[in-house]
Amino acid sequence: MRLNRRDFIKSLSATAATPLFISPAFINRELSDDSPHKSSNNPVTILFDSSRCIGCHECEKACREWNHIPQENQSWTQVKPITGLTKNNDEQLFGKYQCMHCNDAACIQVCPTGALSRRPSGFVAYDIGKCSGCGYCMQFCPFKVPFMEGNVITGLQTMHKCTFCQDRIAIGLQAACVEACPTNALMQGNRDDIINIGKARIAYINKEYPDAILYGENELEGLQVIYILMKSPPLYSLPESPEIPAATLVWKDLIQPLGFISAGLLILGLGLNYLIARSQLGDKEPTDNNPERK
Amino acid sequence: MGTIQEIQKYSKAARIFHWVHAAAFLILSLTGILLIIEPLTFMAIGGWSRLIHRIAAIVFILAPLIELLTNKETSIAAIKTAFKWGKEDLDWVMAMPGYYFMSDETVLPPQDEMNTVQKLWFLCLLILGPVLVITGILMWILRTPVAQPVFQLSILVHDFAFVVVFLMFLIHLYLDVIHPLTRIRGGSLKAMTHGTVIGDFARTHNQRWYERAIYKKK
Repeated sequence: MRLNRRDFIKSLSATAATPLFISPAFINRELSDDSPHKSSNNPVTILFDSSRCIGCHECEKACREWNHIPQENQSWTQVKPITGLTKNNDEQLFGKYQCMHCNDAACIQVCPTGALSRRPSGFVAYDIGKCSGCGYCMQFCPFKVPFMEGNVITGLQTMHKCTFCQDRIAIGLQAACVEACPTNALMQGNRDDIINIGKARIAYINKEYPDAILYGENELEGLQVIYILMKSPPLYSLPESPEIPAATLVWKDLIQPLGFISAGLLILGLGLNYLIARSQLGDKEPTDNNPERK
Repeated sequence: MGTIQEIQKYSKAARIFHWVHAAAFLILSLTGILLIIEPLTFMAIGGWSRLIHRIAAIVFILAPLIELLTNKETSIAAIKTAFKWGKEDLDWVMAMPGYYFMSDETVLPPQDEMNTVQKLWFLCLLILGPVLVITGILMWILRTPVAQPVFQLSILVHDFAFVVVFLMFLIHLYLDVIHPLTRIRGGSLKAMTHGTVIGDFARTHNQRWYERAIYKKK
C-alpha cells in the first residue's frame, strides 16, 4: 500500500503535474523519499514576520480555498489582531496561528492510533482516516493548535490542523498561505536560509524593538514555522518556552507500562496460586462441604 | 453443624444490579484498553469505541444510583461497613496464605456478611468508581483546549484508577470464579447467579452472618 502510494506521488511529480491536478485528497500522504525538497537537516520552513503582517487574512482565504475548508468550519490558519499590541507608530500588530510542526511534537507522542506522524521532510502530518477523535493531540499541544470537528456529545469527531500543504510543497510549490501573502510577511525556504533571513531581520528590527525575537529556532528542538515577534511571546499568546507537559506524560510512559507489568505479574501469581491451591486441595478429601454430595 | 442448607444472600434486584454493572464495567474496560494496547488501537479509529464507552458509562453511573435509591437502607449500611476496618480484618489477612494457597477454609476467622476481601473490593469500587466517573466526565466535556492541565490530569488519574480497578477485578474474577476451592464450592458465584450460598460456605466465609441467619430461622 505504502509503496504504491509513494510511487503514485512520485509519478505525479515526475510528470510535472500542475497544481490543478493535485487535489487535497493527497493531503496527509507521505512525500516521496527522494523528493528534491526532502532534507531532514535543512527542511522546508516557513517564516512569519509579524512586523510585515497587515492583517488582510489573504493567507486564511488561500488556505480555505486550497484545502476546501467550508466557511462555517475553523480555518487551519488564523490571523488575529493582538489586543493592545501596536507598533511604535500605533499600527496594529497581528499574529498568525497554525500548527508549528514541532520537531519534538507532543501530539505525535500522545496519539493512540498513529494518525499523527513525522514525515521525512520534517513536518507533522496526520491521516484523518486513522483519527479516533480522542482529542489528546489538542490537549497536549503546547500551542493549543489541533481542534476537533464533529459531535461533541457522541464523541464522533475528527481532528484538524494545518498540513503544511504537503501536496504543494512536495512538488516544489509554496504553501497556499505563503503564496497568497501580499506583503512578504510569509516566506518559505530551506531552514538555514530562513533562519539567516530571520536573524538579519531581527537585528534590524531590534534597533526599534529591543524585545523582538526569532521564535522557533530552538523551541521544541526547532519549529518548522518560525516567527519574527516584535514583542515577547506571551503578548502573542505564545508560551515563552514551549515544552511537552512532562509530568502529564507520566500517564503514557509510567502508568501504562507499570499497568501492563503489574497485570502480567498478577496473572502469573494467580496462575501459580491456582496450581498450588489445586494440589493442596487434592491432598484433602473434600469433607461433607462438597455441594455435589446431596 | 454438618447440615447443608442454602441461605439467601443476594436479592434478585441486587443480582441484576451486579450483572448490569459488571457488563458496563467490562464494556468500559475493553473499549478503554483499546487505546493503550497498540495492536488494538486501530479499533478505536472513527470514534465508535468512544461512543460505546460513553453509553456504557451512563449505565455504569446510573446503575449504582438506582440501586442506592431503591435500596437505601441496605446500601447505606453496606457502604458504612466498607469503611469499617478492624482487628478481624487483620486476622483475615493472616489467614490468607492458609486459605488461598493451602485451600484450608477452616483457618478463616469469623466475619460478617461482607468479609475482608469482599469489603476491600467494594471499598475499591466505592472510591475509584467516582474517581473514574468524574475524570471521565471531565474528558467528555472538555472538547476544546481551554483547560489543558485539567484534561491532562484527568487522563492520568483515569488511567491510574483504571489500572488499580482492573487488577482488583482480575483478583475478584479469579477468587470468585476460578480458584479451585470456589469451583467445588460454588461459593460467591452461585450467590450472584442464584442468590443463595451453601450453608457451609457461609459458615466458613461469613460466620457471624451465618449464625445470625441460622438464629433467625429458628
